[in-house]
Amino acid sequence: MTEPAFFVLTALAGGPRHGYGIVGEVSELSDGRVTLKVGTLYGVLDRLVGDGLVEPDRDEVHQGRLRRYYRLTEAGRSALAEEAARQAANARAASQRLRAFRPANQGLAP
Amino acid sequence: MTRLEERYRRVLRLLPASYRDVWEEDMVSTYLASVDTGDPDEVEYTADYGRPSWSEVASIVALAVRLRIGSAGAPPRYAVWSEAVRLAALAGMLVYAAASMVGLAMTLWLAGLIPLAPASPMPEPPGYPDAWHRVFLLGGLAGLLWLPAYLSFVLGRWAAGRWLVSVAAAAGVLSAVATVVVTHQPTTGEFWYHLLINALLVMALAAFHRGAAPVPRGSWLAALGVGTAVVTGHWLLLQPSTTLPPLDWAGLWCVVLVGAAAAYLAGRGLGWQGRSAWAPGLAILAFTVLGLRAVTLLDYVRFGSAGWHPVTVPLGIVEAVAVLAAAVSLTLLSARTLRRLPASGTDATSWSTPIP
Repeated sequence: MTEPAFFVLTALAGGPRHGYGIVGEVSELSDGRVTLKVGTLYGVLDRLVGDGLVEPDRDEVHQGRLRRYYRLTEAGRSALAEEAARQAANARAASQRLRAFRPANQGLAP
Repeated sequence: MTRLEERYRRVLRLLPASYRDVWEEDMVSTYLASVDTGDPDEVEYTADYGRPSWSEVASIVALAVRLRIGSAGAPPRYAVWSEAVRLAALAGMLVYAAASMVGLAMTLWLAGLIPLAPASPMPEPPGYPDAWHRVFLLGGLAGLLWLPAYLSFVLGRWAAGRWLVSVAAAAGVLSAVATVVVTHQPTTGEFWYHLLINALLVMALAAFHRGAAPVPRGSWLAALGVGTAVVTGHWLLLQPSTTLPPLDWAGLWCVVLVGAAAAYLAGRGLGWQGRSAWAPGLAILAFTVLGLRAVTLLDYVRFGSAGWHPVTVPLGIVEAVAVLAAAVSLTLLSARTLRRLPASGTDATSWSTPIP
């Protein structure tokens, strides 16, 4: 799973959101590191909808414009949970290895 | 509709129409929300004078390319485009892989590692600094990576193939930069053209997406054998002990391309259909070879063609005309074939199914 896809699924885990809402949520989740461009967002959404991980929720009119909301499907929730578990296991392994092999000259600074 | 919205919708026209039918309104809504700072004066100014940023445009261009050549379940017209790009990319890698095979055999021969083969008649080039040898060696090693890259795609290991192509292309760039820095020689147009081809090849790998059909192994492995024989034959003819032939490297591929195009067009003329992707695939290759021929002819004008057979340049012009004729014929045939295919699908795919 690509990083943008992971963040889009994570953004939708909190409830249905429209396109711009997803962009803002992804930016917040990644501490501003990932700013999705519109072409990138809809490339990701298109794939996630095609894979059955995300589906349209409802349409709302905001300032005369149609806003389409998207939500996570059950398959999307499972895929996100699996990916999160995989990343957490990777991070745990790296942290354990770093703790076990900390060089002797580190960690002694005042 | 504000001018900014008009400009953004114009950019969105790069996307396939059937994709726009599904996503355009939502994309416009999201884009306009993203440029709304909340300050009425700034919003009004942006609405009149603002333009989509380069990064926004780049994201749309990337999406347009991916949808046309790299999208699983795309409508028939784009699926054929995607197959054509895969064919052209494989043929490009095949040329590099065949050159790698010959390069590998040459390296082993020069190192005396091929038993029973006569000793290499090529003396060490005198007078070059050691650094030149190292750069030459690096370039040679980078070139060898194309062989496993090609085999990875043929054998279905596309993820590994992508990495190998990226590394081979990056190593080629590094080796090229090092060559320029170390030798201080003026670089030829052909030198830069090969770097451009490598970059295009890396981009073309998007066509090897998860919904793409597997590469027919037998045919492409046999093609590697034929390609290696062609490159070996050409290389043997180029030896100083033989009279230099009028066919240079670009000329060799002009002859191969025109031969392939003539065989394909003759087959079509006799009623044989073949795969729809062959005409656009051959057209892409024809324009690539035409570019190589044009660039190398300009190099002869710039640097002179001393050392080559006197017929090389006039023959090169004839080759360019022949390849141009093949390119135009194949393009017209491709346009006719692609126009007949629907640009929107009815099957259950991600972007051909309108969202309710």
